[in-house]
Amino acid sequence: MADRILWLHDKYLMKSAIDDLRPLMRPVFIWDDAYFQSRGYTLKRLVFIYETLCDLDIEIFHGPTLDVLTSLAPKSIQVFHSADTTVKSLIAQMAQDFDIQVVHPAPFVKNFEMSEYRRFFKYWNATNKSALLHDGGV
Amino acid sequence: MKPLQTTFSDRNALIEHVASLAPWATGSASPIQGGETAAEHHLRAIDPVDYGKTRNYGDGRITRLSPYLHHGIVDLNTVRNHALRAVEDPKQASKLIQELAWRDFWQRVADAHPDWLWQDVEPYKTGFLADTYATTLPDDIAQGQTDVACLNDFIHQLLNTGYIHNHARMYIASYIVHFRRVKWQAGARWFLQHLLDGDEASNNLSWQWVASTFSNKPYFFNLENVQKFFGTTVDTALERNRALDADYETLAKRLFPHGITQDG
Repeated sequence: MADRILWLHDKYLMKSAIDDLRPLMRPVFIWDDAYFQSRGYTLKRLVFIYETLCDLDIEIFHGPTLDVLTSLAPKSIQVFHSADTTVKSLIAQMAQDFDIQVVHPAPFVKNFEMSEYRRFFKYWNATNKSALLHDGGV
Repeated sequence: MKPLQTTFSDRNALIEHVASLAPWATGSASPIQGGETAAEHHLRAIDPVDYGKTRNYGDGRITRLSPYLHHGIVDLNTVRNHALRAVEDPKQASKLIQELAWRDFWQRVADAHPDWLWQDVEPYKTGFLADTYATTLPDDIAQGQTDVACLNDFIHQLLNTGYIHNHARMYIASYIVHFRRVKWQAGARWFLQHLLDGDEASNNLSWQWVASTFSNKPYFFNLENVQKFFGTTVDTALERNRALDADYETLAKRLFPHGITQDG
């Protein structure tokens, strides 16, 4: 288990999703000063994130993300998907040195492929029936 | 390598610990607490029917879940299912679920078009070219010291708590872009620094929606609108908000003297 890491980023910190994977891998959050500073986070946001982490029963390490991962020497790393460009960029850097697998949480609406991105009403017209169903329908 | 401490005697001890980890971080802690327990408190308080009727008002029954949604502490599916369980007919939860859908939409757009997050998706429909807008946020706005009292109140809420009502975000964005003619990117960057729920996709694309670079027309507002929705929560006295005091026709001529253009 220890050689498989669930690398957590601050855009997806759901306890139930982490607990589901916990038997298979080691959940780890890396407190990376450079990452937070690049985002300009104030103390408000940092405290909010840290409080959340303390609820998760995980290990938090302090240091540059890639350096900490290298020292942990995992065989593979799983990561929850995020549309955030900074997180995506970090994952792309990690993928140069590690075997990365991206986990996609369940979608909000099901059986929908978006092709028109410019106006919300087109998305909503296509998805509102599914959106009003438990779990987004089947 | 030794993991960091995760148990504390109280919240102040945790805050001190984080401040020592990040001595470069500015400001103070928000009264809004992170974590699953806090998220569940807000989840249990959801009333989709009241939300549908009052969500645009400063004292309306909003969920305050956005910081928890942004950090993935709860997801859209959980909130939607919770809302559906709270009503007899799914249509009674449609306003709330539509707001969740906006977030899903923004995430999908960001995933497919990351270049849209910081670039104008379309030209401004304001009659002005993009390069006529200032690139930096004026200090009086950043400090909440403009000549518009209601906006100062909203800005102080933002700086002190990391959270403001979505309707207030639209007012501030509109003021910055259309009343002060500053590029939406400057305001979006400032919001991302201070909002607990600051999310590149939802935030930046919403700023573009207000600016009209991702919508058919610019969003603007007047004092009467703020008085209607926030009259009980911020200072909307005429003598301290004169810059907003006009009917929409007069305001449109003042803000967009070349006329609002349509994107067809």
